[in-house]
Parts: sequence; structure tokens; C-alpha cells
Amino acid sequence: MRALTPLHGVGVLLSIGVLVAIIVGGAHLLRPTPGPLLGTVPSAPDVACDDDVHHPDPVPVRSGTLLACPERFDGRQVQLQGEAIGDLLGRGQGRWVLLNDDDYAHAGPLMAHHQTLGTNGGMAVLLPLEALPTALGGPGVWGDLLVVTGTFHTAAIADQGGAAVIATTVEVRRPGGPVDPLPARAQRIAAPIMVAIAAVLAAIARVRRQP
Amino acid sequence: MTLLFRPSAKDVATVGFLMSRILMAVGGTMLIPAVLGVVLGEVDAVAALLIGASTAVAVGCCGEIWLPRHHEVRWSDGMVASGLSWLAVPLVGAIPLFLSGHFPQFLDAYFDAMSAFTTAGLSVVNDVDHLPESINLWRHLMQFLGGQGLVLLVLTFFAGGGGAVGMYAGEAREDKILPNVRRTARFIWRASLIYFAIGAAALSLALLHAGMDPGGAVLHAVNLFFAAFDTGGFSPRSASVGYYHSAATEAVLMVLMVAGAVSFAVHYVLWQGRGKELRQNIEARVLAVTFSLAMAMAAVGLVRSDVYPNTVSLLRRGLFQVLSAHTGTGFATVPGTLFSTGWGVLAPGALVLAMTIGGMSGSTTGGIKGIRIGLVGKLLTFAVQRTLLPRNAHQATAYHHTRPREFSPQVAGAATTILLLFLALYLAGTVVGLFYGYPLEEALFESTSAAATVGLSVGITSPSMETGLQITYVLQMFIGRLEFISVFALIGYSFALVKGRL
Repeated sequence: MRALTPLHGVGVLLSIGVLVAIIVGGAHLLRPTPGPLLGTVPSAPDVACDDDVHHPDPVPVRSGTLLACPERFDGRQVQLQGEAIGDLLGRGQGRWVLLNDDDYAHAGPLMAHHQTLGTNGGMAVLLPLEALPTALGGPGVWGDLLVVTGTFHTAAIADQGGAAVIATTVEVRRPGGPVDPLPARAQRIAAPIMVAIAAVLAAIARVRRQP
Repeated sequence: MTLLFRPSAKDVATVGFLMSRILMAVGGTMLIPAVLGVVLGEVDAVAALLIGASTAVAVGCCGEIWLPRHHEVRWSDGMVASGLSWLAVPLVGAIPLFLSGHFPQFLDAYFDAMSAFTTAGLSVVNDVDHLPESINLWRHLMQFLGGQGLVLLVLTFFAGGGGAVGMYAGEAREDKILPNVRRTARFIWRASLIYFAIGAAALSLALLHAGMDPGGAVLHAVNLFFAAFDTGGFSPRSASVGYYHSAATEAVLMVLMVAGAVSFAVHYVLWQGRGKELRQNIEARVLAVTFSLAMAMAAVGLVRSDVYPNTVSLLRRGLFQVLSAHTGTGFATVPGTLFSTGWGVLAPGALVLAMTIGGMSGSTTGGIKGIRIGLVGKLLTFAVQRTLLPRNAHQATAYHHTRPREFSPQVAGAATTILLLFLALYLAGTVVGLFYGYPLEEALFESTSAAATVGLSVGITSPSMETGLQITYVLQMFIGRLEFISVFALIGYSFALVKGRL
């Protein structure tokens, strides 16, 4: 087999670069176009870590603030507003739910608008049995928006040391339910075409492999 | 003048051919989550997965069709193919993630795919709590494939010969458990599937007991198994394992994390009924000591910071986090921010220590690995003994790792070199973190987590993180997973393509 010249070497490296560019460029062409948000993300009126004012309980606060300065809120009455996510877990006198107070709680699940608004953020909340949400957020579902008042514990005994809010009152601010995903039309067209191309290439490769 | 020889056209074709096989295999596995998507009616997610699978298969088939097949594969070609595949596979793995719309830039999706395949578990995904189930399954399946070894996936079915050994060693696996690589690969898959059957069933029961519905319990159990046994650390929910509020789930996951941190060579010996291996094995002994030290350090730190109201809480949270860090998994039952705001200094320090070391060599964990700590410790002991013993005294030169082995200067040198390279890698990421203005403790924690492919985070890794830092962590995960050698081979090969001697 013949040796490669330096020009060939550069060619090999460039070919790899071109292939990567085609894959990344193609993916960008097929990425879903963002649509309008389902709701408005409120500005943050809640108490922050560096606020000097001694707010009377319950303190309206976000989960990020509770975790950023837990010593300030440990054992205090707080008020959180967020989307009930996933499952109602546990047994006994209450149920655990993940209460996400991120932007998606107000703007709707990402799949419904395809606008990236950051990562999820939330707090574990122990809800009383008489105030359980009916819609829980997940794929294709926008969970109930709850306003929860309760006591924050950096290490809740009820959760054997987990950070949590033990709720006393729960109000449903906005009932949740299924949401329609914003369809990714370009992908729906491209997928069968690409599957067909891959199938043809696989068939050719199979024929070539035959001794 | 360079000492590197320029690869021939045959060498390049061979590397390309091996890469084609790996891409086709990974493309094929994307059909598994696609089937789940079809069942659940997730139309766009299925389209995204099919596009990703088609791309991987199409590129692979082009290699099969146009590149000549060579039966004799050199060790170095296998090594380079292995290194290159760990860059290329996350590229195709990232396609469905990016097309899902949950990542604003392709680099973000590539970051998550690299994190998944290297079993790091750091993530910059947006709104994971509403992510389609099939895409979530793909995230976790990538961890399983990466943990098992991408090359292993292909060796099970295809390649053999010297190149196979090179590829196998290239993804940081040193122990051939059975006489040939292909049979070793098959044993690893067989053992993993047995663990899967038992582990996923136990997790399903634990999650059902926690209050999940049966369908959700099974789906979460499968995802959690992939992430635990392959020490990956992704979780179906943003709150990680803390989401489940279930001691039983945590207990099963701890068993799986330990199983994942044990090398497959030791698994093989234990399966043969040789239980005393755990007492004799240098790596098992080192890890027992380092885990005890880290746990004691964390416990003292947590008592001092007075976070937990009782011993049960302290032990449940502390033990899980230290085990998660030491096995390189990265699951959390404590919100990551609390490591820096509520845990004081000593307890997070214990996590960094545990992450730095990692599990056993030849397992799915990252980090320096117990064997190297043990060998370097032995080297230091020898040096001290040499100064104290009479000049003509004989020093025993053996250690036990599945069988008695000779402790030669070459072995000691290799262990020390890799240990130093890991420390340099941790330090390099820390310096970049400092450059972007993060405090030393946080920069060190996150850098160690990335390079040791752990996945615990104090919050630096997020969708809003700086691009330079993101690229740094991608490189750290890649280099840390492959343990340097095949990365160096890849760099040398690229250089030799242009500047090598004929």
C-alpha cells in the first residue's frame, strides 16, 4: 500500500472536519423553530439572599434562594409558587411532590414552545393528603401551578435529612393538563428520507461484504 | 526531527473501517428508544432518534462500502480507532438530543452526549422534567453503552486480532478476563445483563413501594439501572435520586454503584466462587481504606456544620453521597448547591477526595483508580524500607490483583505516570474555572467531577455556563475516560499524518 504525502494527511484531517461540519450543519437545519410561550414568566419579586429587609413569615421565596442561603430560612414559614412535577410519592400522612419554580412552570413545558429558558429548579414539598394536585408535570403535561405555604427545613426529619418544605396550605393557582407539542415538521419530513438512504447504503454494504 | 512514522493509506483505511463498525453499532442501538417513542406516541422524538440512527448507520455504511477491509489490524491502529471513536460517537449521539429542542447549541448536546458516553453525568439539558421518555431513555442508554465500552460493543460481534487488543486497551481496559478479547467482551455483556435483570427488578419494586405507578416505576428503574451500574449518574428527574424519597431505592442503587465500581475481572473471579479475592486484592483493600477515610472525613464535617438533626439523617445522606462520589456515579440525594452552602468545607473535601480516586481499574468508573494508589503506595513503602533495611536485604516484589503479579519498576512507573497525569488534569480544569471567576473550592470540585467522570455538581455546570469552560470539561471527560494513552496516540497519529517520517 502506498505511503501518504503530507498533502494527503491534510486532506484526511480536512475530510473529517467537513464531515463533522455537515452533520452539525444538517442538525441545525432540522432543529425545531421556537414558538410563542404559553404563559408569562413573572419578574422576581421574591426575597433574595442579600435582601436586608426582615420579611414577616411566610416569606415569598424561590427554591434557588432557599438553597443558596439555607441558614436564613431554616425552620421559617415560606411561600413557594411552582409546578407540581412527576409523581405523588410516599405513604402515610402526606405525599411528596417536586415543586419546580423555574421559568417552565409559568411559560409551559419546553416541548410546547421550544424556547430554552434554563435548567429546572425546584424543591421537595410534603403535601397534606387533602390538598393533592390532579395534574402532574411530565412529558406532554403541564402540571398544576401551586402556591404552597409551609416550613422550610434544610434537613427535614420527615425525609430523613432531605431539604424540603412541609406544606400547611396549598392553593391551585392554575390547573394543569396535557399540552400539544410544537411540531418539528422538518424532522418529520427528513426522518423517512434519511432512513431510506441508510437502508439503501446498508443493503449495498451487505452485498459488498458477501465473499 | 520527528520520530513518528507517517501512516500509510492502509492504516488510515483500517482506522476508518473500525470506526464505521462502531458508528453502525451505536446507530443500531438508537432504535431501542425509538421503539419506546413509537409505543408512547412521541412522534417528534421518534423522528429525532431515527435521524440520529440513520446518520450513524449511513456514515458507517459508507466506510464499509468504500474503505478496503484489512484482516490484519495493527495494535496502534486499534488504539487510534478507539480514541477517535470516543470523539465521533458522541457526535452522532448528540443528534437526537439537539433535535429534541432541549439544547440551544449543538455544543450543549455534544456536552451531554460526551458526559453520557464517558459516564460522567454532568448535564446542561434544559427542562429535563418535561423531556420525552424516549429521549430520556437514550440519555441513559448512552451511559450504559459508554460504561460497557463502545469498543466492547463492536468486539462482541466483529473484530479480532492484534487491533482488537489495541482497541480494547485504548478505552482503558487492561484485563483480558478470558484468553481472547472477544470472549472477554461476551462475558462482560453476559454478566451485565444478569445484573440488569436483577437490578431493574429490584428497583422497580422499590419504586412501586415508593408510590410510583407500575409503568413509571419500570421506566425509571431501567434508566436508573443504566446510570447506576455503569456509574453514569444521569437521572430521569432534575432532583436526581432525592426525587424518590425512598430509602429502599437508595439502598438498591448503592449496591449497583458498588457492583459498577468493581472490575469485571474481579466479578469473574467472584463468580467462580473465589470469595477470598476480595481480601487479597490490592485494589479492594485500597478502596476499603480510602472509602472509610472519606466517609469518616465527611461524617466529621457534617457533624461540625450541624446540618443534620440526627445520626440516621447524617448517615443516610452522607453515606450515599460519599459512595456516589467514590464510585464515580454522581447521583445526589442532596441538592448540589447545598454542598457549598450547607455542608461546610470538610464534607465537600471528602467528596473531592473520593472522586479523585474512583473505583477499580477495568470497571466503569473514572478517576485515578485503586490499583494505582495501591501501587504508588507500595513504591513509597519500598523506598522507605530500602533506607531502613540492610543493604543486602531482599524485598518482596509482588502484589495480588486477581492473581499474583510481579511489582516491577515498569509497573510502578506506569502507575505513577497515570496518577500524575490525572492530578494535572484535575488541576488544569480548576485553573480554567478560576479564570472564569469561580471560587477555588467550586472550581476544584467541578473540575475533579468532570475529569474523574463522576457528575456531582456544585452548580457551575448549567445551560448558562461559559463556552470555554464547557469545552474544557468535554476534553476532561474524554481524556479522563480513556486514561490518556489512546488520546496521546490519537494526537500523535494526527501529527504524523502531516509531519511524520516516511
